Amino acid sequence: MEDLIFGTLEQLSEGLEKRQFSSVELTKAFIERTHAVDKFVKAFLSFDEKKTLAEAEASDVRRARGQSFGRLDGIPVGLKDIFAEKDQHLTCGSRILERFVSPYDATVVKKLKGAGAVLWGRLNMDEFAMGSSSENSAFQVTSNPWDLDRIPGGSSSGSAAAVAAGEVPLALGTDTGGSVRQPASMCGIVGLKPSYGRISRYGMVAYASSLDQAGPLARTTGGVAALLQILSGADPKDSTCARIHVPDYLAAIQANEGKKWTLGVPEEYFGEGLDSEVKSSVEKAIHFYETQGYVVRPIHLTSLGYAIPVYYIIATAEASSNLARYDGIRYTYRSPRAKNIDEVYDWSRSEGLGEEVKRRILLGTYVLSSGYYDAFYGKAQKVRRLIYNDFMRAFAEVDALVTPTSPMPAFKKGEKTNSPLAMYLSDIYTISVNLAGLPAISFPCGFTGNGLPIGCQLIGKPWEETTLLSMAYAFEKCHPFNLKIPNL
Amino acid sequence: MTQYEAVIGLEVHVQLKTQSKLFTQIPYRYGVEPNTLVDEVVLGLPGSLPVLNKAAVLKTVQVGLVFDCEIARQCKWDRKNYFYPDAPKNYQISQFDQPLCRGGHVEIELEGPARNIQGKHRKVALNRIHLEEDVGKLTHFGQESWIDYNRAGTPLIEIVSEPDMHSPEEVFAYLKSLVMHLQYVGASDCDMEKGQLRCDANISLRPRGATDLGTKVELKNLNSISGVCNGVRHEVNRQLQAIEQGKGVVQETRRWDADRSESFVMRSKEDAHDYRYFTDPDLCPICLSEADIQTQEKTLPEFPFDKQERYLRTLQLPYTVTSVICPDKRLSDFFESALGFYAKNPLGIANWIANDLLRELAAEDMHQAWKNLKMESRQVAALVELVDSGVISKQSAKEVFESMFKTGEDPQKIVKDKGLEIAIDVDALKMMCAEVIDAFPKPAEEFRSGKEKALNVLKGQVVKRTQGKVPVSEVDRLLRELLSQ
Amino acid sequence: MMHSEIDIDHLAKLARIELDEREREIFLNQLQDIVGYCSKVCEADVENLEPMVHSFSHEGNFWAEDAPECRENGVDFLSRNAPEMKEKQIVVPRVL
Repeated sequence: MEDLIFGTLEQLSEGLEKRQFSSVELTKAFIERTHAVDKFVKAFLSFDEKKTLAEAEASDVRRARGQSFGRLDGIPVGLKDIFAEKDQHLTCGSRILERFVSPYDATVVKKLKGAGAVLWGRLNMDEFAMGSSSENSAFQVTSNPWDLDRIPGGSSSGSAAAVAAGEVPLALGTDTGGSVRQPASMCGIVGLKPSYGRISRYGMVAYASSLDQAGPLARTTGGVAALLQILSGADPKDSTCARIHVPDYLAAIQANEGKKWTLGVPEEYFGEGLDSEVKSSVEKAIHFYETQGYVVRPIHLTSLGYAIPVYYIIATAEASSNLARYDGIRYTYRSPRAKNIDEVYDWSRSEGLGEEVKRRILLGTYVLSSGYYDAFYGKAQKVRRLIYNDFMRAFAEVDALVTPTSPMPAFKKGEKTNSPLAMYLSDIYTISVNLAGLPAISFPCGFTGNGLPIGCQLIGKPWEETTLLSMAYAFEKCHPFNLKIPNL
Repeated sequence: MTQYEAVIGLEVHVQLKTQSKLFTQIPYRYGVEPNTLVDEVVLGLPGSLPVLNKAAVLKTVQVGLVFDCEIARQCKWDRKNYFYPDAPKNYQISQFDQPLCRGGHVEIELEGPARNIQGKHRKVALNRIHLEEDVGKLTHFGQESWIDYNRAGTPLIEIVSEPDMHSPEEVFAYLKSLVMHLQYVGASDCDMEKGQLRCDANISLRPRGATDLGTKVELKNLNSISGVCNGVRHEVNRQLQAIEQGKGVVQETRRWDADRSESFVMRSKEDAHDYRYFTDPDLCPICLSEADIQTQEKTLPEFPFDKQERYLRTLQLPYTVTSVICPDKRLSDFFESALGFYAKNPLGIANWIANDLLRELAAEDMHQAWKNLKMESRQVAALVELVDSGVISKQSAKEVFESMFKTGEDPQKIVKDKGLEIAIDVDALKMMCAEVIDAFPKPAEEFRSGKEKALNVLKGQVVKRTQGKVPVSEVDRLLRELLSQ
Repeated sequence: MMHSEIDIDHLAKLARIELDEREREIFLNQLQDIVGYCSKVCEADVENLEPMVHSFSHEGNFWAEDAPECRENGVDFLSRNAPEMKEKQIVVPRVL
């Protein structure tokens, strides 16, 4: 069974289909792997083996009756601890929700259950998805499976690390400013942020509502596409989930094989601050596309310089309001010292929320407060339109943009914790995608000299996930980085 | 007071009568077990999202149309951020700068010089009407406050008037008219005891003739119509005193304590909230087409003041009767339905409805009484017809009505079962009439010499002697016959 | 920077987060840096640009019919995670 844990989704689905192994056997393999390596990786915040095995058993029963739900039936899937799963913990990596148990299922969880997926574990994250390293988790710092002294990226840290370490074959993360793509890039796997509105946000704890989007992570493009297929589509419970046609992603990838697209290379993404190894690796990927007959042309996205300020104004403003509900009154941690109502609020939040979360709440409160709204929040919303228009201008000429996912490979734990601003700047290439609501994918395009994965990002037109998946697949077919596994 | 003029604006919150809450399909009912009408959306559990209730929007549009507001073709939702234990998300979803309805006015009727004389009408200008979600309910026990979130998320409209009222009497007339119109379109029952209507007032004084507004005080917790009037009256006097004593008025928010008939400072201007309004990213804008609005317009009933005018002019009903029937849509619907069965005597029907029916209904809970009402409008019409055609006497009619109300049986059947038809012995009656003419020669003589009214005296005497058991029309006929001989 | 005067105590009060002396100082410095950096948006030329709230334009209204759906055990949504409850109600220290 051990070779299974690094198998592709296609291999696992086929094995289940041909009865080479059962879902229980497969699930047990991942559980055992988790027991073996998670003490180093620390990707899991909690898990419920009994529940997970019961789900696997149910899947086997279905299959035996010839009633399999399809490709994902019986396949373990890990959830970032931000998705509500009925009767399971939902901590969001925060002390304030440490004991919270969800009484309901997120729409994506319902969809996964409906597809027969076996839900394995609750994965670590930066508190309320605020962070790029897992160092903002209230509970533990996840390690990068390729180098345990380094961070796995974030905020979907556990999701990326668990997939890379073979603890689960597929995982779900969320991406508000790069939180799926950046850890996917740093852990050497594939991660997709769909167009805003592609996947329901119902039951996904909000950080910044207008930017948040769930995204699949897997070792291969095929795994990402299969998961995306299940998750996509309108939801009557989410007003911001688009009522728009969902294509058959895997069929589209096949249909697009050999297709030659036009790629734009935004010069601003290759300037100062970009690690030289990352740069040359991404340039090699661009060169590969050229050799495949793609048209590659330079492009300008001059608004890049505004992306981080606009993001931090909009995201923190929304967060300051979204996180107001964690107040010690109804369902969160309440400070045991609190004797009056003001202390319940002030102390519960002070004790229950971590430093980065407080910092962003304070910033968001500031940019919305009377006298500052116009200069900051109001202005940022207009600059956001500018960034969007910039992208749309580029997409008049090209099918997708190719950039590095992160300016540097995984950094050492503790390296950036003292400077929030430096940490923010590491999201420079991913953030504007969320502001514009575009789809983007990160796929492994190489390794640094000391064996750290490097990710390449493709940014697409709204609703054009298929283009990105097809392009990433074209690269993956010729560069099977997914066969390389970390030494744990 | 002669030197100063009070300027009053009201902010009235009204619970809309929808089946489910504003952003989730959980229903709301008053007085059920605490925290049973909740779900993840009502409680603001992590990950929950709001989905707008269509009916709440359309009802608000109807209310806007009733008050002649301009209906927004497009508007959005905003978050009003503040911490309070009854607010599950610590923000309220509301409409800040793009309300569903703008402008408009509420027609009010001021008290007339006497009860039976119609008062003056005027229009109080509205600023806006917007839709928002209600909060939960706090109950205080000793050192604790208990929170029930059943009410949280119920749709509320906030009707904001311009500072366009000048006396507690106008405030009273405004609220009366507001309630009447809201009930008419079925937007709300406006039961203040159940918290379906809540009111805050902005009050300032200015020298008579001035156009600028004085320093305003916001008065909160006005939770009965009389409470509003008392609170406003008290505040106007308090401000007048403050001005006369040279202290001036301080801008602040005060809380009205109806039990003590006093108000207390809640917060000063410096403590004003910074609500940090911003567009709610979880919700889409509302878009209304001309056709959408026209569709709502078609659902609107005849408005009460228009109805009253029609009753006064076309049906010639007395003002007092119209002032009872018109403000209550159920009464006026009942009346018009009865009129459809027997159009000859509108006043006869109206009197039964305005006096007897209303009295019976008011004997218990009005809502329940209407629900349980067995009697039909057709039966009231039939009853009036029975009296008019001399089949039963007015006195018996009372008995028939009571029985009809209790059992819902047709009046004809009741009359028959109880043997209430007038069995007239014409000869005996004629003799009695002759006796009365003899006994009262003066009115008899007057009538003969052309004084028509004098006949009433004689009629009254005959009716008295027969204990009202004969139709007046028959008495009338016989008296005239005898007097003309 | 023009916007760097930050009243950290006022913000903490609005956000309802108690800050100790150490946090107060750290956050004030960091916020000044971040706000200074964010002031960059002031330079952008955004004339004639509509503020962007959502990243895609919504076709038609998103609303639900007024059809009530009662949840059984509504109170379980609360009781399971409540810090303090009595007789099905959340209990807090007295308000006001």
